[in-house]
Amino acid sequence: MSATTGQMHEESKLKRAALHIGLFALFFALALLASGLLVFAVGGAPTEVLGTLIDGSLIIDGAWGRTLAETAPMLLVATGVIVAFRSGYYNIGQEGQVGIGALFATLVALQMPGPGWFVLIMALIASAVGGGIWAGIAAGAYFLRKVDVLISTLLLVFIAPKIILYLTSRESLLLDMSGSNSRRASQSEQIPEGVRMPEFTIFGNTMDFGIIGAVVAALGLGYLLARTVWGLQLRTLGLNERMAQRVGIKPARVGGGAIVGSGAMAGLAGGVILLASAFRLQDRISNDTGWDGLLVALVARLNAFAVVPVSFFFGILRRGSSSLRATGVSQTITDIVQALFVIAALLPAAIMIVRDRRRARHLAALATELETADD
Amino acid sequence: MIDDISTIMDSTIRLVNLLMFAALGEYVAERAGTINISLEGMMLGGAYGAAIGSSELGSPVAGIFCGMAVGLLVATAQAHLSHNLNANQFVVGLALSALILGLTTFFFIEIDMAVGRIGTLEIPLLSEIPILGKAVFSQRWLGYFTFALIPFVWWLLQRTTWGLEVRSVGENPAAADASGVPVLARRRQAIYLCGILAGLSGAYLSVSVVGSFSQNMTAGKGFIAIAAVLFGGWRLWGVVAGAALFGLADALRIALPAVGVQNIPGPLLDSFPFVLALAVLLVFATRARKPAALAEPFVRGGG
Repeated sequence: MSATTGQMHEESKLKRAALHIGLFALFFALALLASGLLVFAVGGAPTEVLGTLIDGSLIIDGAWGRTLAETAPMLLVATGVIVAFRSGYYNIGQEGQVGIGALFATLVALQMPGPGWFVLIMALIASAVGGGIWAGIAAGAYFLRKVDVLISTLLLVFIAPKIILYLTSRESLLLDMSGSNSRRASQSEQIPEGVRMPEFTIFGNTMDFGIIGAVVAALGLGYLLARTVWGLQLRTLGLNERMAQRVGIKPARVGGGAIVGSGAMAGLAGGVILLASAFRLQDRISNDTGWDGLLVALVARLNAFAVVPVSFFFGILRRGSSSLRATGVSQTITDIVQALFVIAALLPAAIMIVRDRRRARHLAALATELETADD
Repeated sequence: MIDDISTIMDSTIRLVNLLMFAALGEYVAERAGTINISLEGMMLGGAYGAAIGSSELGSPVAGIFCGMAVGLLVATAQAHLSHNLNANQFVVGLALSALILGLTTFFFIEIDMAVGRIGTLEIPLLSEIPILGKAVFSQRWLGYFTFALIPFVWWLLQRTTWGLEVRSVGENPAAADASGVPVLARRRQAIYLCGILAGLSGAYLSVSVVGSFSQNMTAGKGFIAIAAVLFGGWRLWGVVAGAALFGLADALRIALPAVGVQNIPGPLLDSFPFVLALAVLLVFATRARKPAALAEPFVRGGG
């Protein structure tokens, strides 16, 4: 009897994995199909939209390099999201942390004397510090004053761009007073050439080193989570705060560190945006990179290896969406695809749970039947 | 001076109503154990649904019902994903809010709208009261629902069996389950009510306060409403006070430049409601006792 149940268990384990992967493929396909129907509903041609997206992000000359450059900040953000969420603290304020990171990088890049490479490194460090401080407010509010991390990080999202707007609209502060900004738009001066992120070119595609750093960060985090004491502590804390405390893990240190660390990653993403593509600070500098990175981590189910391909996919959507105007379909269709993907990624696990529930009920019924037969 | 104060009161009442509808809904959902961050999406969807309904059906009242229906639709998705399929409620909330923002923007560009607004109802005599009278007793009629909704929610949660069960599944779902309360069903129902009220809040914004729809017009007000519930310490009167306080803050943000206060820089003034929300949470959050099972998923026989 026990041998047969054991066998059944082994069998279903393999089948389960296959089923799980199959369900992911199915729901992602359904999400794309639903988006196609939306395009169709507003009178667009889904195939044309898809073709334009892929052309603009992968096919035309130099496109995939720009897509990779666009991917880097999102991947950095997503890596940070994994750190926070795995520790059980829902830092969802990346959009604000990206902005504050860019602000700190701007201050250093414009003010600090010294050779370009040195200022660049210091600016990147400053961006991480900035994002870390912004998230640190939420960490402090939670561990000292019990304010929910979810809501405090969210509120900080709305404060960050206002601070940047204030600083970049004041003559005495960061407002660009040079001739190139004769209309006095709220933005900072340009970052000098020497302080920008170096670029490299392969197969005619130019990109900055941000993407390499971001991939290394994601893979490194995957290793740290799976193979180190810190990773184990973080995951234990995420599963049960009280249990973690009992085995000697200090939530304020490990969890607070995770919140600040995730903010630092988002801040660094802001630094990369500033120093690799935007070159000036303005309040909308993040341009939803924080939100998109958050969604990347959710679609990847908080897996540090899966965020790499998922962020590239999001990069394709972001990059490709700017060429959609020619098709007459609103580029917000890509935002819808992203959100649908998050929901699609939730469903396989959910369906497995429902299936398990049914099987358990079925087995229980079977067991009762056997028992009554024995009697 | 008196004129300035009544100008500020005027917009305060509107913003308080707006936050109150949503915060009361969120309050019910949170008492049942869900931090429902799709509230922002429910409000935005409600605002959009009401605007479309009012414009297409030619009646603002029909629009309001459309808004509530959209809120309920979002609530159904949130409720079933988080309290039937066991998906993480925050992830569901974020995804739904992002989806609604995307959808309303996508279809907004495609559709021309002529949104009808609901009428003003003036209560004689009471509206003559100086300062407060005109603001409170001469407003578009949906605003008066606030007076009815607060006691209704109190009665529902404190004086009905359903309310007792809702509170019990937020405090101790295992015990509630053992005594025969359908835990997941109650949690879902609390979210449905939240969706209807958040939809009403959105509808109030588009067909009463503004009279049109614009992209992302809720602009974080849903999150402020959630902060009001936290500020209120999950007690009804606290939530009402929170909605009133944050409504006043939002009104000051809009009204101060209009009444001649020019020396506060615009961007800093704009961040005021959010800074205030954070500041009061820092002061008051430690005193509150949240529902014991808040944000804890319920699995029968599990942890």
